[in-house]
Amino acid sequence: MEKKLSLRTNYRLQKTLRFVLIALVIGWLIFSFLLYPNVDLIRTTLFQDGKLQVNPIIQVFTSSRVQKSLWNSFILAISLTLTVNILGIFQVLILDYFNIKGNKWLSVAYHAPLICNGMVLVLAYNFVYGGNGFLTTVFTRLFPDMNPLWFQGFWAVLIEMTFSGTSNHIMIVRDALHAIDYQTIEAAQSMGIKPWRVLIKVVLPTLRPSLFAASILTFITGVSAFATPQVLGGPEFETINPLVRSFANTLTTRHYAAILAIFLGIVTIIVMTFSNYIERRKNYRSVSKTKIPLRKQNIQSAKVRIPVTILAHLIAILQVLPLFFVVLFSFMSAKDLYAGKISFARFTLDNYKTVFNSTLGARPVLTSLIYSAVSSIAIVALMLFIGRIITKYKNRLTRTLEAVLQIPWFLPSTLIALAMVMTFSAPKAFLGNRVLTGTLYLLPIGYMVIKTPYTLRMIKAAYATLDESIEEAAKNLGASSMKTYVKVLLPILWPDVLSVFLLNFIGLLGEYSLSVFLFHPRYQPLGVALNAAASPDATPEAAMLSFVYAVLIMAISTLTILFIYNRKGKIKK
Amino acid sequence: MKKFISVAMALVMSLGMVACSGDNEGSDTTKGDATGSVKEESVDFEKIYAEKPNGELLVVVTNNAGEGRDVWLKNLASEAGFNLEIVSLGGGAATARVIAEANNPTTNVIWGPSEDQFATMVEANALAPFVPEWAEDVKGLSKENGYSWPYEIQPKLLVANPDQFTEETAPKDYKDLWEKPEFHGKYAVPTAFDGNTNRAIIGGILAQYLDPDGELGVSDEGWEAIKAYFNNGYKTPKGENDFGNMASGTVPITFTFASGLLGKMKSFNVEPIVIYTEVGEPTNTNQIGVVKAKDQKIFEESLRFANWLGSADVIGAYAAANGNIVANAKAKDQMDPFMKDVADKFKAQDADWTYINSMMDQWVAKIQLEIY
Repeated sequence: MEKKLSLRTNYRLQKTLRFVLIALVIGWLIFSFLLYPNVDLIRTTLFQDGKLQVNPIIQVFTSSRVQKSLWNSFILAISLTLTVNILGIFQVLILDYFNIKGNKWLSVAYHAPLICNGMVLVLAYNFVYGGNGFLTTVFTRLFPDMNPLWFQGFWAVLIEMTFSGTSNHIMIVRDALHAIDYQTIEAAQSMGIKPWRVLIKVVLPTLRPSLFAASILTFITGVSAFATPQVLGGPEFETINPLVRSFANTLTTRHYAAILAIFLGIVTIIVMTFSNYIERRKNYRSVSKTKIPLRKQNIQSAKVRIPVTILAHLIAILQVLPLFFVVLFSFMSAKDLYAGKISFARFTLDNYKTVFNSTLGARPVLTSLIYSAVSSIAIVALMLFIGRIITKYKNRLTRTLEAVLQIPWFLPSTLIALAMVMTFSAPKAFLGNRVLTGTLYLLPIGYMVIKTPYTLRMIKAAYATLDESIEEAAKNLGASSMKTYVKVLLPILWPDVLSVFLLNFIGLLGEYSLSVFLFHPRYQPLGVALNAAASPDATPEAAMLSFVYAVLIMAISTLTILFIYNRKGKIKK
Repeated sequence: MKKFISVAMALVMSLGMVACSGDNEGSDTTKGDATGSVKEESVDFEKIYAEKPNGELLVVVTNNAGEGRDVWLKNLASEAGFNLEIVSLGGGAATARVIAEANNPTTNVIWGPSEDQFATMVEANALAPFVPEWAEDVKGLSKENGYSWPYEIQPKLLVANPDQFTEETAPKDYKDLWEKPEFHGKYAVPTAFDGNTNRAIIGGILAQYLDPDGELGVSDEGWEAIKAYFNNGYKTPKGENDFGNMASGTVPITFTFASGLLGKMKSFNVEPIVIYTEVGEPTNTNQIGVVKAKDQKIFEESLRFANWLGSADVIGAYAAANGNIVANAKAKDQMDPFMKDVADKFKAQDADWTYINSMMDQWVAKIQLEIY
């Protein structure tokens, strides 16, 4: 009896020691790379001689342009959360829940947002649907009365961002659908419940955690919309982030950027707190120990099946079309592009030649590949660990930890990058007096910082679908917690882990705002090369190179997706 | 609710950090400690320039690398014995980077930003003193600071579509654009505010309304003028090209930096009317500077390269190929004939550009928040 007790106290001591050690390491990481640089930058920009400057705050919030842009941003965010969920759920169901003809092609098409996104895609939309766009020219010939600027303003922004915003659904929500236990559906069907109700009452509730995660991400994408409103918003629909970024770029206006960033951050936190509250109320978990994989449903009624099939294919075409044009543009001259003329006879490889003959050559491809891969792997690993702590021990400390890790979500990348360059350009005691500016390490650390909130949110959603009894069973069989984790839990999580890795990796391939400050001059990433080509001092001809870089990014992304799916396929077997 | 409290706590905590970390980081702003190993005050420029290049790898940051100009420079430099890594960045991004890295630079020579941008680099103590052999040949073109030197003159030119306007019917001055209704909606205005050209256009307008008693040094009339300028102009969205719009006639008046004129004319197959305004063109110079270095050999090589790059032969050949207006008096004859004509005809707007540039960020903020 006594022996047992001492063992137990010993065990407790061990646990406490481990806890302190882990807390120290995580605390150090967060303090050094996340809190210190950003808080320090915000302090120096908002405070002068230790006093908060109130005037700029009043200036910012009394500006009618700021008020209107803020309003637009939130309207966009709310609408987008709705539309992306509708489109995303539709696509996921089409791919994996219903039997629809042309599944392979649909699957390829629905992955389009992963392959090409950001400014290049928006420009492609504009060159296709915009005032001088190729399709607009065709349409106006058919309907001379139509307004050539039909694709402009709020709706254009919402449509573009909806079609390019479904990547989380295609990866994460789809993984959740795969994890569904088919027996629950069968049971519902055998009770005579109509297919429509099965979908709503049985299938969708099990997708809840992943839908929540995707919704929050979509909301944040909407609030921080940058490229799309600038191109497609027109004079009437301006959002706040372009203004924040332009303020962040010049020294003397940086405090405006900081004020707006903090404001956006507070609003985002309120929204997330609210949604976390709803999320915690109810979570459905499959309790079955022998899951049967999902079987696809036939839509019996032709009246429903045919329109759904047509719609599914129409959406696929709309999603792929702009990408197709990006590839075409990469073979065109600036003059033809702006004139809206596509003539295959005039296609040239000049843009490609210029890219590969430049002093950079293909080096940016390799640089971005390595940086993106390393940082994506590292951040997923770290967040698997932290996410485990947060979901397993729910207390004030872990909730604070989670809140702090959200910071990079609302700070503009420009500010994060500046904060890092300035902080780490002088020796800091907490880094063992090392200087990080100008080293190869700064960029991957920056990448990890900006991907922290996203990764954590996704990993948390993955943990939420885990069945606790599996873990208990493994432990009852005598497995240590480490062994249980590696041998039992991780394999279940693996598809989600791969998805998050993939989304991070692809997102970082063309990253610009942060990279431009942190890259080592000898190793320029793709995003920097792409944007240098399209900078304001560049001529239109030079700007065409950005399409070449976009095609390169598309190629790498496609290969990576194929590779990852190959891995996922092997796991299933 | 608990969640909310913890989030609020986190916020308070970070705010607390803001307040507590008070002034102990003042040392961050002491300039250039980390780069003290090179003695910059007693540099013997002549001796360094006389020596042959030592082949040390130099990182050259420039906004002049597009359209194969990087290859051109690298090859020519390599023939002269220099070993370059060329980093292509926009002028603003290049400047921001050099400043942010003032304590621990990763670049060696910076080529292309404007004198205004170089002034901020000098102020941030990011550059090393540098006097090239050709200093005399570019004398008087910009305010001398002892760090950066002009290689190119960059007037901002108002241009108009030749089918819609003649020299008589085209606007004579920026003021015409908003004062005469026939030009309303027919001219492009700046849509971004971080580029040199856009800022110079704004500066050129507000310069005519300076008033020490006015808001931010500009009279009420001036603020009304800039408001009318923006309200009656066309805000070219991204995805359209202002020069392309001018060429096609949809928005027949726009402006460009001089060195972009030839290339854009070729891209859009147009020879526009170049308008030489009555008050003169807002003009700046683009310059070359040397970033501080820790290594003596690299530092000397940087000086040698910057000196070589701005010399009459090299910059003359560069201007001949790319349509620049050179600063170096000895290279004038090598300019492209069309641009030489522009160089002879334009008149630089006379204004207190140092003061204007010092106010520009605040003006731009006001325009962004209240006018645009």
